[in-house]
Amino acid sequence: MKRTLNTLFRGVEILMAVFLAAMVLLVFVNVILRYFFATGLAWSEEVARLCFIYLVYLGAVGAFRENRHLGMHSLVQRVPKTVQKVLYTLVQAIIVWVMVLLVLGSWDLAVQSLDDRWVATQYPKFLIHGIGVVTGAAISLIALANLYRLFVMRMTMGDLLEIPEDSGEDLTGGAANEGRGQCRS
Amino acid sequence: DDDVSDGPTTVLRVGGTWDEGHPMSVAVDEVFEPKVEELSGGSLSIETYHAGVLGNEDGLWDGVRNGSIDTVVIGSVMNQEYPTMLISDWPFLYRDLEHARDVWTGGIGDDLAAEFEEEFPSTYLLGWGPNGARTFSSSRPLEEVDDLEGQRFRVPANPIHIGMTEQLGASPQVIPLGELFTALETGVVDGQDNGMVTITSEAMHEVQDYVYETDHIIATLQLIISAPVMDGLTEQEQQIVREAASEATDAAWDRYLESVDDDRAFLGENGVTVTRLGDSDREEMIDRLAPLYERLYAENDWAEDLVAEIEAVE
Amino acid sequence: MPVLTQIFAYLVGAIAIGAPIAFALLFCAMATAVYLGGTADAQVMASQLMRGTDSVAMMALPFFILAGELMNRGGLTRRIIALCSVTVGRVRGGLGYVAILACLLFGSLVGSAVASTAALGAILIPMMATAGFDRARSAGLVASANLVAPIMPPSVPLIIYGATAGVSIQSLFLGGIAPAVYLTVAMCIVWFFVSRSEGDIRHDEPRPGAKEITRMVLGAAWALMLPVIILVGLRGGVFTTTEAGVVAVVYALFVGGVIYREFSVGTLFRSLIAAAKMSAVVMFLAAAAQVMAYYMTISGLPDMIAGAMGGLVSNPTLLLLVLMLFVILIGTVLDVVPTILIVTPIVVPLLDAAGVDLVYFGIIFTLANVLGLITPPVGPSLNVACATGKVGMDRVIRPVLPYLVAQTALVLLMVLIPELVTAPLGWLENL
Ligand code: NA
Ligand code: NA
Repeated sequence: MKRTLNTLFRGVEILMAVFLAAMVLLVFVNVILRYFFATGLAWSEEVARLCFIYLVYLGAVGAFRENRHLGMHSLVQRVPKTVQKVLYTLVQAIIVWVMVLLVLGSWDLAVQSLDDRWVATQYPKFLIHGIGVVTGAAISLIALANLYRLFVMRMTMGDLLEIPEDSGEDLTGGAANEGRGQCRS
Repeated sequence: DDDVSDGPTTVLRVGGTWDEGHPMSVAVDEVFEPKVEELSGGSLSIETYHAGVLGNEDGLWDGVRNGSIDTVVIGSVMNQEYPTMLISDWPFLYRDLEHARDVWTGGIGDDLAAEFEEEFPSTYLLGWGPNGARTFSSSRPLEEVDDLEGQRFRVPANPIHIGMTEQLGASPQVIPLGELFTALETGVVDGQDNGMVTITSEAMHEVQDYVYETDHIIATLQLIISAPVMDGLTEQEQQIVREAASEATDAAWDRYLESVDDDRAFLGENGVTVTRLGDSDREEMIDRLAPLYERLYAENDWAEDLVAEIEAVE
Repeated sequence: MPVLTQIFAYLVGAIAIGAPIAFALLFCAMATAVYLGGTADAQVMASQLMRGTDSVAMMALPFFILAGELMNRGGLTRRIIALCSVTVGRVRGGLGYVAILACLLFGSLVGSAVASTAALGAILIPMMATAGFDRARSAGLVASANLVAPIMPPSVPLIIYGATAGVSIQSLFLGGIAPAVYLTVAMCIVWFFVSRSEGDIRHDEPRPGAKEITRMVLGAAWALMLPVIILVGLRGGVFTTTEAGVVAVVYALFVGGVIYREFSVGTLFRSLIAAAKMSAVVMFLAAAAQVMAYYMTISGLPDMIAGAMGGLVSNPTLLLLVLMLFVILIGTVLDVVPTILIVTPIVVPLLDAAGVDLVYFGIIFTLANVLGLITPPVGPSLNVACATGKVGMDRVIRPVLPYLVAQTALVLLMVLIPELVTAPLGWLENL
C-alpha cells in the first residue's frame, strides 16, 4: 500500500516537473517568436496557465503528505504530549472541513461550467475546476489517514510531522528541513 | 408582504471589474444605488465592489450564476457557452457610438436579454451598458490604416482579436493586461487597443504618442442579477431593481458618450496625436477583415440575421 | 469591532495550534463566512482559490525559483565565493567581507534569503570556522548578510507583493537595487566592529597568480552577466518580468551546462522537481490568502482599519513607522510570504489614502519583513544557517543582534528619508 502510494506521488512529482518545463518552454518560445519573428502563439498563455494551475493544486497535495506547507510548531512543541494529540486531531479536523468544502464548491463550479471552454485552446473549464475536487479529496483522505496513524497505528507526533528526507534532495528544501528539525528538537 | 418598508434590510452586493471611474461604475454608484435604496424605502441596500475586488470576470460570472454574488457588471465572458455574446467582439458592427447605444437600449437589447435568461435560467440580465469602443494606440506614428503594417500590438488571448489584428497588417502579441503598461513603456510591444477610458485611466498616454480612434469594436457591459436573489425579493422590489437598472444603463451610455469627448481632449492636451478614423480608411479596414468576417459567419449561424437587424436600427 | 476580533481569533488560533498557514487561512475565511452569513459558501472558496492560483503575474515565481535552483547546482555558487575571496579576502576579517559581498552577488541571481543562505551557508560557514572565526558568529553573519537576496532583484517577496498590490514588479525590482547596496554597506560597517574581537584572521592561502585570478574572474563573470542581461532586457523592452524569469532559467542552463559543464539531465530534473514543489507551497498559500482577502473585503475589515487608523493618514511618516514596527513584530513569529499576503490587502487602501507610493512602500515593507527571517522564535534564515553551519539556534541569537539593530535602523532611515529609495529608482527608471 505504502509503496503503491509512494510510486503514485513520485508520478505526481514527475508530472509537476513536466508542467514546469512546459511553462518554461512555452514562455521562452514566445519571447523568441516575438523578438525574432514578430509573431507569437495564441494558445501558449492558456497552456502555461493551465500547467501552473495543475502544478499548484497537485503540488499542494504532495506538500501536505510531506508536511511541507509552512506552519508554526513552536507553540505546539511546548505543550504536553496528550494536548499535542488533541491539537493535532483538531488541526486535521479543520483541514478535512475546508477540503470537503473545496470538493463541494469545485464540483458545483465544474458542473455549472460543463459547456464552458477557455477561449484560445477550447480547453473545457470543468477540467479546470475539477482539479479542486481531486485536491480537496486527496488532502481530506491524507488528513484522515493521519488520524488513523495517530490513533490506530499509535505513531508519535515526531513521526507524523516528519518531513521525508528523500524528498529533501533539493539543496534549499533539504537545508530548510534540517533547520526545522533543529528548531523542533 | 408587498409593503416595502417592512422587515429587515436586504443587502445586494454588486461586483464589477472596472475601477470606480468607468462610466458604468459611476452609473451603478450614482444611479442604481440611490434609486434602489430610495424607492425601496430602505428595504434594499446596495453595496458596490469595483475594480475586481470580488473577482475577475470569470469569477463574477461563476458567482452570479450560482448565487454566491448577488449582482455583477461584466462583459462577454460567457461567449463560449452562448456564442451570441460574441456579438460584443464583432468588428465594425455599428455606424457610431450613438448607433450602439440605440441598439442596446432598444428592442434588440430586450430580445437578447430574454434569450440570455433562457440560456442561463439562474440569472436575469437587467441591462446592457457601454464597455467601451476599442481604439488603437501606439508609440509609433499611427494616423492611417497603412501605419498598422508591421507594428507589434498587444492583444488579449482571443482568436477574434488576434485574427483582426493580423488581418489589419499588425503583429498580434498576447500579453496579460497586468503587464501591458510596462510592456508599452519598455517597448516589448508598440501599441495596444482598448477604450479611450482605459488609455486615460491606466495613464497609457505617458508611454504612447498616437491614438487612432477607430472604434473598431464597441463592447457592452451587462448588469446581471442572480435569479434566486431576485426571486427572493417582493414583486415591488423586483420592479424597483429593474427600473433602477434600466435608468443606470441609460445614464452609463450618456456618460460614456460625454467621456469620449473629454478623453479625446485630455489626450490631446497630454501630447498624444489623436486621429479619428476617416470613411475611406474605415472601408479599407472592413475590406481587409473580409476573411475574418467569412470565418465568423461560417462558424455562427445566428450572426447574419442579428447583424442585419443591428444594421437596420436607425 | 467584533468582526476584527473574530477574524484574528480564528486565524491566530488555527496557526497557533499548528495548522499549516494555508489551511489556517482557508479555515479563517470559512469561519468568517459562517459568522457573517450563517453558511460556509463552498463555491466562493473554490472560485477564489482558483482565482488566486490562476495569476500570470505569479508565474514569475516558479521561474525565478527554478533559476535559483539551477544556479545552486550549476557551480555558480562556488565560483562567486572564489571571486570574492581573491578580491576582498585578504584584509583583516576578510572572510566576513567575502561572505557579505558573495551574498550581494548571489542575491542578484536568486530570489529568496532562505535559498541563498542554504547555498552559501554550506560553503561559507565551514570555511570561516576553519579559518578560525567563531562558528556561531560566522553563522550569524551569513544568516544576516543573506537578507539582501530578497531585496536585490530578482525577489520572490517583491513578486508576491507586486502581484497582490497590483504594482509593477519591474519597478519594484529596480527599486530594490539601491537598498540592497545600503544593506551591504551596513553589514560591512557592523562586521568591521564585530570582527575586531576576533583577532587578526586573514585569508592566508597562497596568493594565486595573475593567470589564476583572470580565470576566476572570467568564470564568475558568466554568472554575473545574468543580472545585467535581465535588467537590460527588461529596460530595453525585450521581455516582460514573467518572461525575464524564463530567460534567467535558460541562461542558467546555458552557463551551468555549456560553460561550466556541471549539469546532467539528472540535475535538471531534480531542479525542476524541487522548484515545482517549492512553488506549489508558496502558490497554494497565496491562493488561500486570496480566499481570506475576499472575506476581509466582504466584512468591511479594511474600511474599519482605515477608520481606526484614519488619523495617521494625514501623517504618512508616522503611518509608515507604525506599519514597519508592526511588520517587524509580526515577523518574529510569521514567515515573510504569509505576512505579505495577509497584510498587503489591508494596508493598500490606507496607503492610497495617505498618498504613499506603493513601489516605495513595497521596498521598505519587504525589508522590514525579511528581518523576521533572522528573529527568533521563527527565523527560517537563522534555522538554515544553523543547520548548514552545525550550530545551535540559541548560540546564534546574540551574534545576529547587531545586524538586526543596524538593519532596523536602515528601515527607519528609509521611512524618514523616502528619497533614499525613490531617487535611485527614478534614476534607474529613466536610464
Ligand atoms: Na535577489
Ligand atoms: Na522571525
